[in-house]
Amino acid sequence: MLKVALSLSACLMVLSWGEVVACLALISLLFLLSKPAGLETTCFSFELDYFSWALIALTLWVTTASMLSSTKVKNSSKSSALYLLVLVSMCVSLCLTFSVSSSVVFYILFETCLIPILVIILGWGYQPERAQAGLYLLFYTMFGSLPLLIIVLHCSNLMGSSYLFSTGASMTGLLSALCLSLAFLIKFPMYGAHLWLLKAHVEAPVAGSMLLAGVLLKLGGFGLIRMFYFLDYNFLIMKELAASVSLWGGLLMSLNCLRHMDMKVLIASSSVVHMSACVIALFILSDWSVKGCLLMMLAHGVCSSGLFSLANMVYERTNSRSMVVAKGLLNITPTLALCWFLMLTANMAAPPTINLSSEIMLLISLVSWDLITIGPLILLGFFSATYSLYLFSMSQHGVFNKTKSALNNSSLLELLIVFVHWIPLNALILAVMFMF
Amino acid sequence: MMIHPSLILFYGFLIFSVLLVVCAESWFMIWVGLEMNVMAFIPLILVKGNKYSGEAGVKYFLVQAFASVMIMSGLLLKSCSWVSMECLLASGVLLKMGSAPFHQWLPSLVEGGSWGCLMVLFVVQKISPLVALSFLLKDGDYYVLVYVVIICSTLAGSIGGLMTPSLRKIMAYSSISHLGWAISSLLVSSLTWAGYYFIYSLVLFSAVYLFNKEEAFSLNHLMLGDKKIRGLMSVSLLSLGGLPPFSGFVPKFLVSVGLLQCETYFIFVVLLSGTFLSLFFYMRMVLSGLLLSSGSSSLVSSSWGSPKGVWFNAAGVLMPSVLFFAL
Repeated sequence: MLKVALSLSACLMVLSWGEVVACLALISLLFLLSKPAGLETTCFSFELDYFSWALIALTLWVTTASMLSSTKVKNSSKSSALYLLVLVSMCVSLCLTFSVSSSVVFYILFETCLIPILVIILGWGYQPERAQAGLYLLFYTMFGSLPLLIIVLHCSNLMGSSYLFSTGASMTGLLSALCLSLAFLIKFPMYGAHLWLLKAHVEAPVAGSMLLAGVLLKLGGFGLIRMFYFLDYNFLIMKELAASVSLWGGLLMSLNCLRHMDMKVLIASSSVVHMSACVIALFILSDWSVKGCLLMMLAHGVCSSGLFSLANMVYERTNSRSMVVAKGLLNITPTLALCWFLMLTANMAAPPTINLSSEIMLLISLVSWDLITIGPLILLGFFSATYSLYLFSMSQHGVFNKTKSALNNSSLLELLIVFVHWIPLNALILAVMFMF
Repeated sequence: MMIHPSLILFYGFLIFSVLLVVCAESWFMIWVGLEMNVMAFIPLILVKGNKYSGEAGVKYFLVQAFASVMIMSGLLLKSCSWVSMECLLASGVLLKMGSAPFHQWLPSLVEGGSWGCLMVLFVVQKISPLVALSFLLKDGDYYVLVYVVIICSTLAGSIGGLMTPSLRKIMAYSSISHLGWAISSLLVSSLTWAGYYFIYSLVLFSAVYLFNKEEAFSLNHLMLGDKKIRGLMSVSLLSLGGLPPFSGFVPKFLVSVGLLQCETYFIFVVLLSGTFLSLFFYMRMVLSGLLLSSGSSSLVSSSWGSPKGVWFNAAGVLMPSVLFFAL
């Protein structure tokens, strides 16, 4: 892990786009070659298991793609070196968060990841409303993380050490369960604590959105998995509370997606829907549900980051995120329309993608937990397919709004970005057998 | 600017009086040290020589003289073992440092001072009353009063800062709310207090240094000035707010570990919620620095000015937390 962090820090020294992207791609390749067997100590106080390994790989991958897709910042030279610095420091802090083995340091790093995304939103956002989005982001997360600080320090006090993987402490009761999971449920975000996400996505520049949806939301799932070590598993009230709120909340959000005209809000809401299934699966905490949740986080991370980069390509052409303005793109940019189709089929879990296998695993574990979840889950699955289709047909079909004078078709770089997202989604289906 | 020789005298006296209080072995010597402290500080307020600083000087003198009377009479009455009088001594000390139920003089006074003077007021002037309070806490009679003071300081500081656009007042309220942390670190141990206070004053210095450099006295002034300095200022402010990666989190972390080991959960929860509230006004300053920027305004073409000082500042904001991680 130290090697990864050090080589990433070497990127900080270079601070030029091509080199940093090449370095990151190389690091992610080398990292993929080093799969840990079990819980593996990589160096002092850093440990990797399959969960953190997969999430670090996702981080490296999404960061590379997000740098590729923010060429606009590079070309406009709006303090682009600083932008790179922020992106790389975010990548470093995320990798460290995913691999650290002390709960206190985990808390500190978990909070550290907040700062770069805040800087990205405040510094390179589109509109003055980014101030509000930044405040929402900061205060929602801080509200959850202060109870987390209390309980983390309390647990390490009780156990005498802050080692994450020891099963010694057993906190009981609703309050401590709430304190332990609130920060991560807000980060996830569970329905009800998701307002900051929509605002942040709308205001963030493309790399911010990609990293936010692709990796930062996964911090929530990762943190929950880690914090469950501290809980005595008798927190049934919390479990059922969180599961039912996010089940019905996911259904509501998927209905809500159908009335958005803003592409980015729609994609952001769709990630709330996907994450709600992850929340339930994590609280069920069976073998299949945890693995399905990990797979879902990977699939959704790659897929939503791809969708956000596509939305940005449309934004760069039409200067609008609204699907009233950006419609009928099929006639203008047919190759991008194919890209939209491929990413959206992945988003609605069409066959060869890992989205499908993860949804199957999640559905099986949810239904085996309680039969009564079948009803909402059917509706949830139906509507999540519906809003993907809705997004595709609203943006691609129809008559193009002839207000713009010139549009260029997709460049090679943009096709590369889409396929960087699409290929892992479809290729990883071959790796699913290793999950069992 | 030429340094007037009398300034050296007064600063010397100020430091000497603090040392006198820290090393004192009787309450009488503490009282003498506190009086010397006031007498040395008042000329430092008056350096600017306009009517606001005059008003501030008079206010400071009156409040501190009253606090001294309270301390003295508390000391004298302590010998006749009259229980309700015991709080008089503690209240005098608390009034001197400007903690919450006795805090109203501090925000009304700060408008008269320069940033250098305020830095002395926020940091040096609070050392000797805090040390005196730590002597009082050894007896263990004052815990209820101290708990009330901690809660009031944290909440009054963090809510008061929301209501004013003046940077000096905001910093005064922020120092009041940090005083809540400082007093609660005294509940843990004197060493924790020393660690807390040292790092806190470094972080405070890093913010106040930039305010002084930019000559910023209200929220609107933050919009002007150099872009890089504004960026750095926002880092300093977030650090002062106690966000984890910055060094402002380190003293808070020290105190929280100590408080949880003493099992004083209630105070800890109040302190954390105070931090959460005060983050609002720090964010307000950060946003008005970062967002409402008027591009290439810089009326005062400060540029990087003295890079040495600015880099010292950046190191002060980030280095302690790096060291902290290394531990």
